[in-house]
Amino acid sequence: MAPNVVLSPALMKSIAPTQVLADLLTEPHDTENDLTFLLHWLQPYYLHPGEEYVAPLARIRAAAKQCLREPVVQLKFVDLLVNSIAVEFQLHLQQFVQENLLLSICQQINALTAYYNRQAAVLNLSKAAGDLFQRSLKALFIPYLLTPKVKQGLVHLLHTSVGDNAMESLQSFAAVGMAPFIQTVVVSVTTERIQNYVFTTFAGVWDQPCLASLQQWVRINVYPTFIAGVFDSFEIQSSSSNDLVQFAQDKLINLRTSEMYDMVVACNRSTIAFSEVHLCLATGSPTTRTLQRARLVDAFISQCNSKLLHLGSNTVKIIVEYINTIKALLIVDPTGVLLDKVARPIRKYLKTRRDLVSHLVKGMLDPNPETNRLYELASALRDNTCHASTAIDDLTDIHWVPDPIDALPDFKKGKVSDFVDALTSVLPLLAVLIDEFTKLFAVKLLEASDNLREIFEDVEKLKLRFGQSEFATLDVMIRDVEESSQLNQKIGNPLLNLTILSRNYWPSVSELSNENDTLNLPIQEELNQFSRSFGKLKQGRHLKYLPSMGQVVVELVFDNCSKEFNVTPSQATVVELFNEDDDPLSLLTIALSTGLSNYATSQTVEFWIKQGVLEDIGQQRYKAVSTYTG
Amino acid sequence: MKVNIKHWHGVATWHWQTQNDELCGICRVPFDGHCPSCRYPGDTCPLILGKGCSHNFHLHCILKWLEQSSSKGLCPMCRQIFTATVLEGVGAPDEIAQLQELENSHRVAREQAEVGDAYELPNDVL
Ligand SMILES: [Zn+2]
Ligand SMILES: [Zn+2]
Ligand SMILES: [Zn+2]
Repeated sequence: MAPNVVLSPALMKSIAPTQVLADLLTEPHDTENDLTFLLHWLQPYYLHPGEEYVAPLARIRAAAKQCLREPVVQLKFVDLLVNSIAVEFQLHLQQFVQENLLLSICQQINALTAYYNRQAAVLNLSKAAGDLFQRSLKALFIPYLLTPKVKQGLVHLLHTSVGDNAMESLQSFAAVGMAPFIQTVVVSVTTERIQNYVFTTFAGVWDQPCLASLQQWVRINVYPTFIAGVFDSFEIQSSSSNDLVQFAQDKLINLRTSEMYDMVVACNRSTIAFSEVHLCLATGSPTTRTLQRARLVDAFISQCNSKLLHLGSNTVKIIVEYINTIKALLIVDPTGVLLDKVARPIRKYLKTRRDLVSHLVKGMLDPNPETNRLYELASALRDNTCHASTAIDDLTDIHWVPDPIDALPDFKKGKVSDFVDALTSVLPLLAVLIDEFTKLFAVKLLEASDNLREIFEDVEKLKLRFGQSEFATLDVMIRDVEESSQLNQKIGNPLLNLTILSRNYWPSVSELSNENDTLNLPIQEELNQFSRSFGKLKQGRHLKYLPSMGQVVVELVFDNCSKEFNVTPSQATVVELFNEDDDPLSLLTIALSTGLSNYATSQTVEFWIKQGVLEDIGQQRYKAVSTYTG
Repeated sequence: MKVNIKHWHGVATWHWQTQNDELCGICRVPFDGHCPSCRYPGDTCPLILGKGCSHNFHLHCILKWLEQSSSKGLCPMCRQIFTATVLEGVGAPDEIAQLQELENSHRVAREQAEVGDAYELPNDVL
């Protein structure tokens, strides 16, 4: 007879028309005595906690041998025994599971299986009958254990306990046929545990390594329970802790993806986090990697759109974050493909900012982080090695690899690896930038006519970066300033220095030089002398003085002190009227004497009142203070 | 109160002293700018004032013009014979010398043409 024979009602009737073992007692039989003994010993069919297994007498063993000679009878006997147990389970086990904690349930499962196994051993069953008994027994347990309560208990156990307790419990359940169920629970609990751990432990932790401790935690705290819970399954058994570690890394990438914008803002202390994202992305399978990269790009772009690229952010802030984005994304992906993608919306938005060029120009010229939030542009301009970025090196690298498949069609290696290039290429024309530089230097050259070295050095750096020929106008301006200082030395007027400009080369100067603005200067005599000297030195040329430009140092001597002021020519001209004259002057007199407009006159008078030098004595009349109080 | 002006730093622009138009008739660049062959205006790219007529040109522009035999040594604007007003210290001496040599060669060529030969600029000038 095959071991898996199914007992049909007909077969059952032919052997014994009974349903449970107790039924056998009521019928007379050849082996009646033996059977009576045996069945009495087999009772109870359910062992309550605290009850003991009673070892059989020799008489019982003999009876079992006698009664269960025939294999067919053995099978039938097992069937009936299982039915008897089933009745007891219904009566007791259901309630027990409901009323007790998981640990007690496990102990009871263990006690019951031990009890039935010892009984089975005494019955001396054939292999077929023994297998049938084991299978049927498991089938009895499962309906009572597959309950929400047990599942909850298991989940709780897996979350909290990593020791032998958990292992033993899992083994007890598995032993009674619960393995597939436990696997499901273990897998779902493990993934949930890892996810929670990653999000609670590593969120916002960007300045220290997380990957190694995550791997260690998975291998030491998660993997043993996990593998204990899935030990039955051939597929999962063949897996190693690497798969769990990989899963944990994927969760870490998910976390970092959601934090990407904030990490970029905190760029300088997020370097480690970016390196770890790079590592994680590099170790995943190609499909996962492509998906994760795409998600990272999408998430970062949408974070930028909601947090950065709107009217609430000033242009400097956007430039700073663009620089940070470049730094960060080149760590995450040194090929520059991801950077290329995330940079596009930022660049597109920056194009709409009209003040971009002036911020870039100022940013590039001031290397002091305290006064320039864009000092990194200045450092980049001063750092020649900056051009030789890793991305560009790829082009000549013998270990060259093709662009990643997710690169956009017009992706160019090294295109945005340099802050200065990245930002200036946002501008529609280089000329826009050069004009802005020229404007700024025009101001600087006129202000700092003594200290020009720094300016010359800056211009040299700009030429190296943007090309010598782009700065032709600026070259003329610089030569004007240099030649002026030589000329001033030649002429040697101790009071008056002039910066003599080539008028078509200085922004906004050519308009000024056409205006006929007159100012009756207190140094008119020196000026005339200077002009005559100039005419002698430079035949065929003459000078046109621009009275509104320049700086004057005046010393005002009061009764109590003297004080120096650095002022405009108009301011100097106005205050000169009060030289050794204690009488008040009216606004009209001042305007007529200086040649300034009424508006300019009152502005200038206002300036000297604020400085505490003039006082308003009413009716638009002013006089100099005799005692200076600041 | 006493006011002492300690130092006055002023700003001025320089201009070529010319009678009329502001643009060089040859390169169409302002006199106070530089010609197309130069990088700086002023000393190194001076303005040459016409003596015979009132037209002015950048030195380098009029040199290029006069180097062509077809110019016949005439002012490109008014077709009168071009002679330069030479100012002391204006223009590099060799360039001024070259200008005067060109004026002379054209004069010689013109005189020969008047005698009956075809007008031709001597080769050594070119
Ligand atoms: Zn010209
Ligand atoms: Zn020139
Ligand atoms: Zn002319």
